[in-house]
Order: sequence, then structure tokens, then C-alpha cells
Amino acid sequence: MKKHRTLIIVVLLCIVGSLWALYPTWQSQDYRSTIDSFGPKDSAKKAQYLASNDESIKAANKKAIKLGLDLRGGIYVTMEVDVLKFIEEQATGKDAIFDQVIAATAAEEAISEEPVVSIFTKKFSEIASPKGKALANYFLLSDVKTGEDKEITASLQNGSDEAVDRAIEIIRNRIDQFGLTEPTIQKFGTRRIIIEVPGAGDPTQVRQLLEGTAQLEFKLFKDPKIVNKVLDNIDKYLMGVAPAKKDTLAVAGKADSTAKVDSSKKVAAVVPAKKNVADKEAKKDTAGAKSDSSAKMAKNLSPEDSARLADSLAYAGLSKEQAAAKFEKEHPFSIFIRKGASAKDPRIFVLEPDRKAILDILNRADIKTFYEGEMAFAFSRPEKDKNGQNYYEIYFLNAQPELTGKYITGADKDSRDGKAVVTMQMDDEGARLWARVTGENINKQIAIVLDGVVYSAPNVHQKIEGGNSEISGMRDLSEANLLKIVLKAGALPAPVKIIQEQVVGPSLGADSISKGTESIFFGFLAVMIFMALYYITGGFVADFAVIINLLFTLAVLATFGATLTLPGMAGLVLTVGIAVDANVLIYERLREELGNGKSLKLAIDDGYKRAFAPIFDGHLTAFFSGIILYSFGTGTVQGFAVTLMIGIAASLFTAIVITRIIFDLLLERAPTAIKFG
Amino acid sequence: MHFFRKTNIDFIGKRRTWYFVSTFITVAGIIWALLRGVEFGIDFAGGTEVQLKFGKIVKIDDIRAALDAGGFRGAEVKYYGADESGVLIRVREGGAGAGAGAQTTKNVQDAIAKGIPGNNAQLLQNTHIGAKIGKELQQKAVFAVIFTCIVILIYLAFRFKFVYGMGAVIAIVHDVLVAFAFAVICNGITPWLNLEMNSTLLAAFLTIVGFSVNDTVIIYDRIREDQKKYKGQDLKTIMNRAINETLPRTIITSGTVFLTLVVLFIWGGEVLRGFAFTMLVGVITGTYSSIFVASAISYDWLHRDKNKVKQPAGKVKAKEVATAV
Repeated sequence: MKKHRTLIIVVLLCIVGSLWALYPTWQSQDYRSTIDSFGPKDSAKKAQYLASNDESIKAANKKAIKLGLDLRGGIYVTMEVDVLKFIEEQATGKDAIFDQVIAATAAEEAISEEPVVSIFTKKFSEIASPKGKALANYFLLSDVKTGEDKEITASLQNGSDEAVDRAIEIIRNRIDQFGLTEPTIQKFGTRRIIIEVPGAGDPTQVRQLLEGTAQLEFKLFKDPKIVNKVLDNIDKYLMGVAPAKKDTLAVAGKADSTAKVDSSKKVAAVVPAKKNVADKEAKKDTAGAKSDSSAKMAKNLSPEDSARLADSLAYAGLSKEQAAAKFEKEHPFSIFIRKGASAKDPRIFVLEPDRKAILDILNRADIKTFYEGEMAFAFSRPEKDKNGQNYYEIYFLNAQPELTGKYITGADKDSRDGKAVVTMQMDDEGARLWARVTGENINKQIAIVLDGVVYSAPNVHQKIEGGNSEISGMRDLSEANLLKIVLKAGALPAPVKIIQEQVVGPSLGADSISKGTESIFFGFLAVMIFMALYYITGGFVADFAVIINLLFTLAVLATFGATLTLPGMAGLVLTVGIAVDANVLIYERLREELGNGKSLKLAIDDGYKRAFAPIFDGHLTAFFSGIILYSFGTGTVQGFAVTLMIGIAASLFTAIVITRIIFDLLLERAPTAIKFG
Repeated sequence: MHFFRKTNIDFIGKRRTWYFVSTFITVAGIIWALLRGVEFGIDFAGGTEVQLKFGKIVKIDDIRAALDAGGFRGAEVKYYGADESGVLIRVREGGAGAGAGAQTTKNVQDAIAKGIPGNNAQLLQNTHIGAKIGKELQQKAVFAVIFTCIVILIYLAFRFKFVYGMGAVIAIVHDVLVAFAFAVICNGITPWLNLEMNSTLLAAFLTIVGFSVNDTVIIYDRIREDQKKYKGQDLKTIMNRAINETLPRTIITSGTVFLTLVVLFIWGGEVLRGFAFTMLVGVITGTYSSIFVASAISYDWLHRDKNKVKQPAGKVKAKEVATAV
């Protein structure tokens, strides 16, 4: 006992640590089953549950073992940005020689991981340079001054990097705005984007979302009267009451505000700079007056005033809390919006979980009939409040855009009096439309919307003719840069294509899980029973070691945020095979030594000592193939390799150290109990 | 419980018979592959695979007719899953209708909905792999196997002796080829096993490599130990003894892995079935090859060297054997 005191403590700590690491996985499973128990008609309840438990669910999910798409169901997409196309489009005066270079680059690009620009310049110097051509013959780029090859290459590289980043930004927007759960978007290599969307419903929709061209629109704000009506209709529908006919605005309450919703979460204190649209020549102050319509909007939407607008009698005699609860119950949808509104600020901010709840409801087919074609709900980009929580400004816009991005011919960032501004140019047709729109909407806001996300909602100060506009009020140059990218994004600089796609329906995922876990369970059971029968005490000890091994493997998976896939589960089975093998090696050796007439203690000593070398060699070589499998494999195969590697490492510890401790303890206390069959 | 009491089988003496068996299976697999071609999965060949579950059982011919009408002439159709309501449709890269890229799935679904109305087909799974990715994966797979062999050769050469490393690598190549032969031939005979070459099968191959090396290393280890213990005995006796001594462990371990794989094969579901089957073959050949390929080839190699040099008998020979590993 004394001999192993430190080791025993280490082992116990490992076990406790593993259980602790696996607790969030259990928790997250628990939450998921609760969420799944809500039927399709309970989406308002579900949204409320999600909103109120948002933080703990997120925390649990973050630390839980992630299930691969093959187990959860979902969509896995690899997209590739066609950088070559971008290079081709940058070039002017293309001739046969240039086409040859492009063709050669395309051929090599297909099999090489090198950046396309490098391949292109290499091919250019191989094919075009001997014919007396320089890059400057084809590329007249605005940011290139000397015309040297090196500078042009750098510019092309920059441009292509920007094209990929812009594509990622656009795709991220679209996915965010679609309200999908836990999507992951990552850049892979120099020009690929990997998108994983677990549990998504309609793959066709996601595909269109990803492959469609970016849609830049200019939209006017919706009349608050109509907004209120739409919100009320949705509320009433969700409560099961028939949509009301009367206009809520017409009912003017006299009583004081009785309903008060918890406004502690409100983020109105964070005030971004105001944005204004001005004629290029005109310089406007950036703290301009708030638009009429939006001020009215917030007033009508804030819970205090809304309650006043509602039948005040209904709230008479209720305490503040009761009134709040009643109000919340009667506004199952709009409560998520209304609690962000206040009488003081025209803008309405919603927190991340509320936004998700709103989107969940809005994306329902039966709810869509209430607003589609009439108005559009849109959010700003996320901002972070003091607690690091994301919040968004919500906008109520016209369904139809006044103008689309196709008229924009250019956009750039600039500074005026030390302040960042963005300039925007339009073609003739665009300029004519723009003049009409701005002329009719002076002192109103126009939202600049890219793929449904509002990037800026500047105030119109005057009628803008000639198509040259200037947007001021940006916080800094980087914000101006983003708006510039957005304005230019109407047309993607380089096409993005889906080159790999995998969709696993949720029912197949569930099927895989149950079959996988069942078969693994029976596999374990069979092996464990066999071991106990064949090696008696040794078998039980080995079984214990195998269980600890599984515990460690899963804990390490959870700690490193690894993903468990179906092949990963197969990896677990093989890990058990390896762990059992280590014990078999030791026990067979031990039996041999016992057969040679050695004492039990000596036989155990020698058995462990002699079996160590082959166990170590075997584990190490299997580990090698795991590493190689990981570096060459993709997706699911990598999941297999990771589980295998972790399992092998854990097995070295459990099979050699833990079982040894147990035998030494048994030798000390109950040597007669030790039997090796 | 003991399955084995001290065995004393002359494994090395019987090696020539087993060389013949191994060569026969390997060559048969290669010839089959050359004559009939290897069926590559979508991930290596590129294309689109759609797995549907119909509300009512459907006839393959009806689906084929619907696909033909939808412009997918030549698409592969087969039942997939527990009963005949699950169907797998595969449109290969370059085949009719494959030009739509990622939209192919939708086109296939539309064609089915149009051709077989009133039978709600639920999309269980679909995979689209562009031709480029497919080529990349193919390359990577070959690299992975070659690279594994090289790493293992280096490790074993360092840990034992170059000859033994070669023996192990030849055993690995043998195992992969035999597993490949079985996969290719069985895929031809029993298509329901879903044994086309895909990345899951690649994972199986590489796991076989790991297992086979593990087995081989354990026997090598015992050979080295016995050479120190029984100095002066000839290599054949020592190898035979080492193999016999480790035989219980070999059988028990392979047996337990075999047991779990059988469970996976039966209950693991459609996706793991091909994997489990290939691994079953691999466990058998991995066990067999560490005895009849790795050890036997190392023996023949060392033996040949000795014949060539014609060393004097007695002391020197014993010394050489002792340092052989």
C-alpha cells in the first residue's frame, strides 16, 4: 500500500478528473432531450426555454463531447473560392499567351496545395516570360506603382486573400442570419471553406444559401403601425386566439404603465455612433437628429407603452410582477422584441438568445404567412455588451428593396476632418433611382442590407443626384472598411463553388447512434465476460482497467473538444481490443512463469517486467498508424484516428499501471483471491 | 481455463505451403481487380450518392425508370438498409445528370418525386464529392499506406534489425493485399456488404496494418528474448519456440478482437458493416502473417545469408545467431 501511495492518488485524481470532464456531456444530453420533447406547435415555449437556459446550455455544449454529423445529422460542405477566375478577371489585354498560362495554372491547381497566385506566377515565368512578356503587360492594378513583377504578385496575393476572406464573411452572414444552431465555418488551406451545420433541416435551402450570389439591398423602414399589427397578429396566433382585427394603435390607454418587464438585460446604454448619408459635398454633423419614424416605433414597442396601449383594465389590480408575467404570457413572440425597447432610445436591441428565439419563430412556415411579402425582420451585425454577450439591433423593413447592389460601381473608404467616411458611386440608372428614393425620404433612414444583415442605416439628409454619395458616422476606419466591402460585395470578386457536400438526415443519425452504441455495448460485454471466465481474478482486474480506459478516452475527447463520429466509435472498440491485448500479454506471460514454478509474487513481477517491451512496441506502432491515418484522412476517418490514439495512450497507463497496483494491493491483503485460471 | 497447453508446432517448417496459399489469394485478388475493375466509392471516384427511405416498398426497376426519365441514365440503384424501402442511388462523376454539381441531389429527388408519385421519399443521407476532391483522396490513401510502411520499417529496423523490419513490412503489404482481394471479390459476389473502396475501407486497411505490426512485434520480441536465453540453438528452433510460446496470447487477443468485430458486423449497421468485414479478414491475415510471412521471410532471409557466407560451424555460428536480432 505504502509503495504505491502516490500512484494510487494519481489514479484516483485521474478518475475524478475524468468524471468531472464528462459531466457537461451528460448535462448537454439532458438538455437536448428536454428540447427535443417540445413538439412543433410548442415553438414559443421552446424558444422561452432556450432563452432562459441559454447560458447553461451553451456552457454544457461547449464542454461536452461533440457528436459528428454522422451521428447528429447535419450538413457538411466544402467550398472552394475560384481564385484563378479572380486573377483572370483582374487582367486586361488577354492574349493567347495569357490563356496558355491560365490553362497551365488550372492544370496544376487541380493537384497542388500551393497558393494559386504562386502557381500562376511560376507558370507565367515558365511560359510567358521567355516570350518577352511581363506581368505589367496584363495587370494594371490601382495599388501597383512601379509595375515590377514582385509588386504585382503581392497585389494579386492580397486581392485573392481578400476575395477568400470576403467570401467567408458573406457565407458567415448568411448562415448566422438563417438562425442555424452551432454552425462552424473555417478556412481550410488557402482557398477552401469548410462549413458544418448540425441538424439543419432542408439541405436545398442551405445549398442555395451558400451558393447564391450575395444580395445587397437598400430598404426603407416599415411603418410602425403595420409593424405593431404584424407583431400582435403573431402573438395572438401563438396564443391560439384568432388574429385581432382592431388596430392596436387606435386603443389609447390612460392608465399609468403597469406592466414592467425585466429590463436589467437591456443594452441600450451602449450607443453606437449615428450614421448619416450626405451629399458628397455636404458635410453634416454626425450626431444628427434621430429619425421620426424610429422614435415613434420604440415608443410604441416598449413594454411600458405597449401595456398602456393594451386594454388597461386587464392590468388593473395586478402587482408589477403579475402584470409583467401577464404581459409576457400575452405576447409570446413580441416579448422578445419589446423587452429591448425603451421610450428613451428609438433603437431596439435584442440579446443573442432572444434573437435566436425570434428567428426560430419567424422561420416557421405557418408564421411566415403573417409577414412574408409585407415586411422583413432584419438584424444588425453582433456587438458585444459589457458581459461579452452578443446583442443585435433589430430592424423592421419593407419587404421590397428600393434599390439593389447591382447599380453600385464603386465604393471606398476615406476620411473627412479626421473622421472615417465611405464613398459610394452608382451608374446612371442607379443614380436616377437613388435621387428619387433619397428625395422622397429626406430625414428618414435607409438600411443597407447584405444578405439580410443590416450593416448601416444612415439618415437621408438631402436628395442625392449624380450617384455620388458619402456615408459618415463610422466609428473608425475598420468599420468604414467593412461597409466598403459590403457595398462592393453585391458581386463576389471570385465565384465560390461547392466541391464536397454531405448531408446526413437526422433519422439516419439517430439510427447510427443507437446501432453504434448497442453494438459497442454488446462487443464490450462479450469480451469482458470472456476475460472474466478465462482469467478469473485477472479477468476482472482487466475488465476494470478496460472500463477506466474508456472513461479516460472519453474524458480526453471531451477536454480537447474532439468530435465523436461513427468510425470514432469503431475506434473505441479497437481501443478495447488493444487494452485487452496488453493484459492478455501480461497474463499469458504470468501463467508461463507460474508454470515454471515461480511464486505468485515473483511471477507477477516477472510477468509485468517481461511483457512490457512487446506491449510498448505494439502500442507505439499502432500509435504511428494512428498519426498517419489522422494526417492523411479526412473528416470521419480523422475521428477514428483520434479515438484510436487517445485510447492507445490511455491503455498503456491502465493496462500496465492500474492493474499492477490492484495486484500488489491484493497480494498484500488477500493473496489467495488471486487466480489466473 | 486454458485453451492451450504447451504446443510444439513446426511453423517455420511449413512455411512453403503457406507461401503458396498467400500468393494464391493475393494474385487471385489482383487478377479479379484487373479483370472486373475495382468499384470505387463516391469519396474516391467523385459524384453524388443519395440515400432515400420510401414510405412504401419500391421496385428498383421503377426507380431506375424514374431516374432515366429525369436524365440520370446509367445511375446505380440498390437497396440499402434493413428492408426494401431504403434505396441508394449513385450518380458518378461524368455520368448522365452529374453535371449539376451539388444540385444533383435535388435533381435526383425531383426525378424520383415525379416518377414515383405518392410515395414519400425521405432523404436519409447524401454525399457529393467533386472530381477534384476524389482524386485528392485517392492520392492521399495511397500515400497513407506507403508512408505507414516506411515509418514502421524505420522503427523496427531501429528496434530490431533491418531484416526483421522488412519481414514485417512484407507481412503488412501481404495483409493489405489479402484484405483488398477479399473486399474486391466479395464485393463482386455479395454486393449487399457494401465493400466498395471508400475512406472507411481505407481506415480498415490502416487499422489492419496496426494490428498486424502489433502481432509481429510481439513474436519478434520473444525471438529476441529466446535468442539470449537459448544461446547456441539454431534460428529455426528458436523461432518455432517463440511462436509456440506466444501462441496462446496470439489466439486470445485475435479471438477477442474477432469477437467484437463479429458483433459490430452483425449489429453495427450498414455503415460499419464493410469496415467490420474487412477488419475480420484483416485480423485473421494479420495473425497468420506475423507467423507465416513476417517470421518466415525473416528466417529465409537470414538463412540465405548464412548459406552464402558458409560460416564454420560451432562457436561462431552461435554468436552470429545471438546477434542476429
